[in-house]
Amino acid sequence: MAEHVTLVVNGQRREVDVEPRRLLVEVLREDFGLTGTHVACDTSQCGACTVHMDGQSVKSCTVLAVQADGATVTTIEGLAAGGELHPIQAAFWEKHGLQCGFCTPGMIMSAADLLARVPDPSDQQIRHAIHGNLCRCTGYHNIVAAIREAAVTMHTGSASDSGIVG
Amino acid sequence: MAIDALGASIKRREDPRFITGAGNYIDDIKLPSMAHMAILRSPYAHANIRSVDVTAARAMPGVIHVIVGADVPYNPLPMVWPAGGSAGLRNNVNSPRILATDGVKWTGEGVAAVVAETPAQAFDALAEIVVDYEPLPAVVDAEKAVAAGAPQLHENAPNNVVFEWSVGDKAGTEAAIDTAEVVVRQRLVNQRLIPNPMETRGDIGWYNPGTEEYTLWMSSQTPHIQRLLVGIFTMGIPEHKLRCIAPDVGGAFGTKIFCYADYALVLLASKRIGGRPVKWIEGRRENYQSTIHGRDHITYLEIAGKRDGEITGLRVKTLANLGGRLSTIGPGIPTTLYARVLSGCYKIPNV
Ligand code: FES
Ligand code: FES
Repeated sequence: MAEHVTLVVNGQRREVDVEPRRLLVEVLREDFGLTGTHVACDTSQCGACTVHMDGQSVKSCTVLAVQADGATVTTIEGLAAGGELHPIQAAFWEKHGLQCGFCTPGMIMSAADLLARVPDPSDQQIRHAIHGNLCRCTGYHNIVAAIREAAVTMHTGSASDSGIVG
Repeated sequence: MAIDALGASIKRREDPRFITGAGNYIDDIKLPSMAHMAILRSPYAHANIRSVDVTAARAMPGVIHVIVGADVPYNPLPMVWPAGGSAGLRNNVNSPRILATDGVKWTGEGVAAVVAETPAQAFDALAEIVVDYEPLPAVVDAEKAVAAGAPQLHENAPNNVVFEWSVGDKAGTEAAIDTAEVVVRQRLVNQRLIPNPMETRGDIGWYNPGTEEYTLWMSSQTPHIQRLLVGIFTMGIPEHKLRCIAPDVGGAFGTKIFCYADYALVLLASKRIGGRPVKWIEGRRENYQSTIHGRDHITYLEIAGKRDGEITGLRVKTLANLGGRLSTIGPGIPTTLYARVLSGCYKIPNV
């Protein structure tokens, strides 16, 4: 017994018939082919699946697809406008904020949510904002540095020249 | 002009795809007509299996094929790194089977596998499999496992001791300790750990009925070696008939070195269902149970030294928990890999 769901995903209107038990992340990955959003746990703890729904970050493994009916969703694939890296993406690259990259899309989407609300966060606010995102590789240090760097770029339009990694 | 890479901060070439969501990890791969596999795992650490009834599972919606231990024609998984370098060594050969047959020896050992049109249908069908277990006593602490009266796991490993192994200068170390100005003695527990990469394991097997060739996509650190371990040692597929492909890997921390039963299962399943590719993606809970763990050593150490702080000798006795069955390189780790580097970066004359 399928339910009909209509969404706007990365600016595109999409419609899909889903079993009521299916998760938003499954529909994004399997039906829409947006595999940048990852699944790394089965307990809503890791944040690898973070996307924006109506402007707020959500764990898409914890949202039923039917709950997202009528919503506007942005995934990691929709973050870079017109082929240009988003400043947060650029800062993760610049500051070595990733290794295997599996947590990275979720991390970046959480950071984007933070910087939309708090343009100039303290390190403590950054760490608090990503406390629902787990990374096994980096030790978080350079992720925090990348988000700090992105905040500066988004403020001033240019990267800080501190040149310090971390 | 060549770039001097030393000391320079160099941007990684692989990052653009990872930061834009364009990475290609195992679960991102979708092949035409692909089916999905789920594995039923033992909730018991130690049990006999009286029977496995898959009749109801076979009738579930979307189910294409169900495999139990008795259907698997292959060898057990290989253990390829015995503890070397010591004469008279008895390494037993109790390595994991592709699926358990008459009993299980660790929590999470595979008992049956379902192949279905969707992952959800495969999981639904797992719930319909009825396994009649006869639970047996288990012990998880290595010191208790070798104590008198402990439950016995394998007939060929009396008192649960797989082997005893030693290396080094025994006489020299004894002398250093006997004549030392100071001897420090300690019991050190290096706890068991779950390596826990953010991406769990997973693989896709494809058998091409036309060419009789196999392809195995695997989240692996060792695709080259697996051609030998999965292909030749386990399934009897010659190397030129098996291609192993590791796409982007979302962390491994050593877990993706080993040879796992699911590699053979997805290939077998693909062949059984006429060459449709079969994908298996491990859940996080499943990862904790069925992918290898690390450490779990209890060590008694003695350090001989002089009063001025110079270390003159080190004697170490370690009890390593190798688990219910021997993993691919399990015996080599607490022996060749561990014991030969015990002195670390220190200059210790007698070890
Ligand atoms: S997949 Fe881990 S929180 Fe969603
Ligand atoms: S970069 Fe590997 S988990 Fe974060």
